[in-house]
Amino acid sequence: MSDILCSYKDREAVLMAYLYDEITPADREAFDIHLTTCARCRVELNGLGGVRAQLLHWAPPDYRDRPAITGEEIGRPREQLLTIGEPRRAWRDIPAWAQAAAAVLILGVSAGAANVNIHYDGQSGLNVRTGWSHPAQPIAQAPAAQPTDTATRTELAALEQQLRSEIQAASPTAPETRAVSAGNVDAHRVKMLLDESERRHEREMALKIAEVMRDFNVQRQSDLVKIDQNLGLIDRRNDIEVRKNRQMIDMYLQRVSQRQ
Amino acid sequence: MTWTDEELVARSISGDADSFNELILRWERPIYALAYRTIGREEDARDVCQETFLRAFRALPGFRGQAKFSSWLYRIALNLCRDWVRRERRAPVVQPPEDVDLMEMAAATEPSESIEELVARKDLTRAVERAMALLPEEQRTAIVLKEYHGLTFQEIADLVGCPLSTVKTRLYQGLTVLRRELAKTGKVSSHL
Repeated sequence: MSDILCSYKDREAVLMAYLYDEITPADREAFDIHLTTCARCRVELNGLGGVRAQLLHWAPPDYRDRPAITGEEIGRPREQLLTIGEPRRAWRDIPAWAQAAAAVLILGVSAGAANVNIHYDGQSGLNVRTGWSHPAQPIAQAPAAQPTDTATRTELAALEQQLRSEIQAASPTAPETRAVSAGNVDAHRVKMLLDESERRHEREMALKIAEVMRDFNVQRQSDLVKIDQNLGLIDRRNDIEVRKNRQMIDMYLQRVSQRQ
Repeated sequence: MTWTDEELVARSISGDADSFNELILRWERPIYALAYRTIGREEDARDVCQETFLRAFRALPGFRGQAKFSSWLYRIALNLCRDWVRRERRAPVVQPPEDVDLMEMAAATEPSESIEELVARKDLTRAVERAMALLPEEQRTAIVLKEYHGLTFQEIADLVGCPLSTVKTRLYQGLTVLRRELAKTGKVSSHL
């Protein structure tokens, strides 16, 4: 028979002592006997044990492998100490140009996530498509654009490398030999996933920017050729007009001289 | 040679910075974990951790060894956490980790753990965080010190300055609330 109410003396305290195994052998024995007859205590003990098992899953976020502060730094002024171990402040130390470049990177990542396709041509002007629009027409490869494309990728790779160097230089170095506690493994893996995702987005973004710049250069060269052609045509027309005018003037001069 | 905490404290007081470094290396993670689970904010927990060691260093000459160094350090950290909660005048806000891409999770999953198991584990972590955030500060502190730092009832009572029976009551009440809240998410049985 299960007891609806339990009148065991100091029940809550004994339950806690039993649950955490901080109980004298005599008290344990007495409570063991009680448990055989009290379903309420038995069920509650099992339930609280289940809660304890679930609590084991709660690990704090990954603690970065560097000390909060060191003995040498204790002697430094308080203002300097505040910059130790605070990654959000390290961001402020990055030069403005690097932050601006990072903003462009973020914009590119967003564009990549939305599958944005930017295209410009002389007939339809600037076109911006997202993943929901029809797929963009393949862009003809212009041989003349290849060196520019390669150069752009190289520049982007150099920019990415420079940014990473700046960010690494701005944050304190981490000791390599610290052991990661078992509780932090999960968060550590999530961090690795996020890093990998970030790298992938950066690659996609770099590719996207390179494509846009390549298309832009191709179009620019094409426009320049057209402009040259048009200018040449205008020049030729002007030459013809000048020649006609000269011929007409010569004719008038001849006629005038003949009359005289 | 491995020094005890008390030996390192003595050497630190005599001016050996390396000894205090060793104490920091030993205790920074537990103090950070205590602060995070008490106030629920990663960056603020880091600040509390740093401030704890600063205060400990300044107060080191006054440390007579009546209590264990770790208990003394915990007390400093808990006082700072309490100050933080009062200053912010709000319950701890737990920051769940950002959602991650399921496909990437699947790619990175251990061979022994299915994607469903991984997702379930994340859900459980968030459920525990939310339930803990509902507890009053005293109950949360008692559970954190007991479950994650392995302190005895008596050590907790000494640390927070209350009778031993109060510690047990706080633990019982806190665990009961957690049980009820986790039962709502189907994580534990709600039957009495």
